[in-house]
Amino acid sequence: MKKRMYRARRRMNHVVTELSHVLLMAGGREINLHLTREEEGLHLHLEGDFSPEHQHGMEHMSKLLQPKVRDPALVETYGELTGEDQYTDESELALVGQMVDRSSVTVEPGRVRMDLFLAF
Amino acid sequence: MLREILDRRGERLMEWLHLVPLALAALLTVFAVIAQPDASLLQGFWEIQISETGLITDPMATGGVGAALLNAAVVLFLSTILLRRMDLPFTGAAFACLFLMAGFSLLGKNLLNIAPILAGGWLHALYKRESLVKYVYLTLYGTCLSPMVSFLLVRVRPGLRWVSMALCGLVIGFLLPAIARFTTRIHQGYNLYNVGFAAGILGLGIASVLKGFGVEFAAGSGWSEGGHGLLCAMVTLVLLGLLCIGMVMGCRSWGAYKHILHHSGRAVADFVLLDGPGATLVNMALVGAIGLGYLLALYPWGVRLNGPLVCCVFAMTGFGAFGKHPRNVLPVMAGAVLAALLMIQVPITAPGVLLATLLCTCLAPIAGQFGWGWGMAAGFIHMTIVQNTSILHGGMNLYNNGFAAGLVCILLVPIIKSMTPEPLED
Repeated sequence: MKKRMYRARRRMNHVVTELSHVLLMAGGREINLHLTREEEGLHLHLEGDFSPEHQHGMEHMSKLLQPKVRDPALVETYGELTGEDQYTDESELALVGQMVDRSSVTVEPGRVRMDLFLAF
Repeated sequence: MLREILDRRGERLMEWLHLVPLALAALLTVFAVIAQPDASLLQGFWEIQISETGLITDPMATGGVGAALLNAAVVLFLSTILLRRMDLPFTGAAFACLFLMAGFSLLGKNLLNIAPILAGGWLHALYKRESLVKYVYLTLYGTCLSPMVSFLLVRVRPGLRWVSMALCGLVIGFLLPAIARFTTRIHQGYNLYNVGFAAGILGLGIASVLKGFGVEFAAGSGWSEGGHGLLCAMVTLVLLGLLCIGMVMGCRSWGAYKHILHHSGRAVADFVLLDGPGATLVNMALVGAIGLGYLLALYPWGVRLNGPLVCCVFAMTGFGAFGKHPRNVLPVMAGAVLAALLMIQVPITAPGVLLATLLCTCLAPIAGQFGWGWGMAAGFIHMTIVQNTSILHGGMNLYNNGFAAGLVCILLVPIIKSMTPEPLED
């Protein structure tokens, strides 16, 4: 069955760019990305390390990526803002949290693991 | 355990947030009746619906203070119900959108001229085979081009006026979401009135085509001064109400509030999602108070509250939930005031200058991200550019300041970025 994948693909590209940027900025030396196309959407498993001084920042990121409420109108209006930009700040991470349909983020000392799902 | 209880309480409060705009609509209605407690209220309300609008017309001069407030109340009520029916969460984006709908109903939006644009937005969603939910903010903001609809209603000959206004509104509502999505990339979130920028570009296109066919745009002007005392009381009550609700929702100390001031304000800075509803409502009250305080400070020079000025205060208040806070709006306003003081041809109390001083705060993220110096520069340039943008769309874009702010971003943001040294990292 044909699916409307263009938007999900574009959004996942924004998400990957944004998150890899954030982890590299946080002193990450190795980032493992595992992106799979599933029946209902795109599933991203991301795992990486970061410098100890960024622990608090990563915990804040974890909250932003797992918002209590998701506003689909917000994503449609501002979705293009994520991705390539030299000033990555929390506003873009908050937007990533809004863009994905499901998210699970675990932050351990010096290491972060996340599972993000973006439906077609 | 305690955290769970607080989280549950926060979630419960989120469910009740839609009552805030509904309470505002009720308050506007009460003040409408106080201002015009007779049949002239409904008569004025109808006059507002069928009158020509644009920059800068004051519906309070057209139909009376009460009728204009009633118009704002009805538009706000219906917009809130629309969001509620779509099960959208009442985030900062929703507050900003609804306060802008209420505010700009005191500067040109009315039931009749926004209806075709909303229908156009619905057609856009239908064409994209998506729910209107995704496009509802863009569509509601898109009603800033409603003066074009009113213009056709008034100026086109009787046999064609309803068809032409409906067609124009449908085209605007249909096209604007696509342009607005694109324009976010241009200003990169530094202009909080993004749809104003998009609408300016679309308005420029439509106005140019119409001018090519011999249409002349000359929006009427109106500037009432009669309802100052009542409007002062109403706006003060709104701001105090927001402050009190915010405090009840948990923001009772400097510590609970101050985190908001650390955000740059760049879109998407949804304070309800980032800091919770309590701190957000307090911030809305404070940002609105800055706008109101500025206008009241100019009272000795003859500035009196009216529809357009209350609109500006509401716009500032609404975006107090979505990017603006005292720390990032003050430098931009200071820059705008400085420009107005230095420019010979624009007195600081001129209607357009007053609007620009308050609405230039859509550039607050520049101050929040790059510092107060660049914020002042943004406000200064905005004040000069906005004097020349209205003519491009014939005064038909109510968010003219958003249009000018988009141009300021194109001019300023690349310069700032090129002058900011690349940070050294370990």
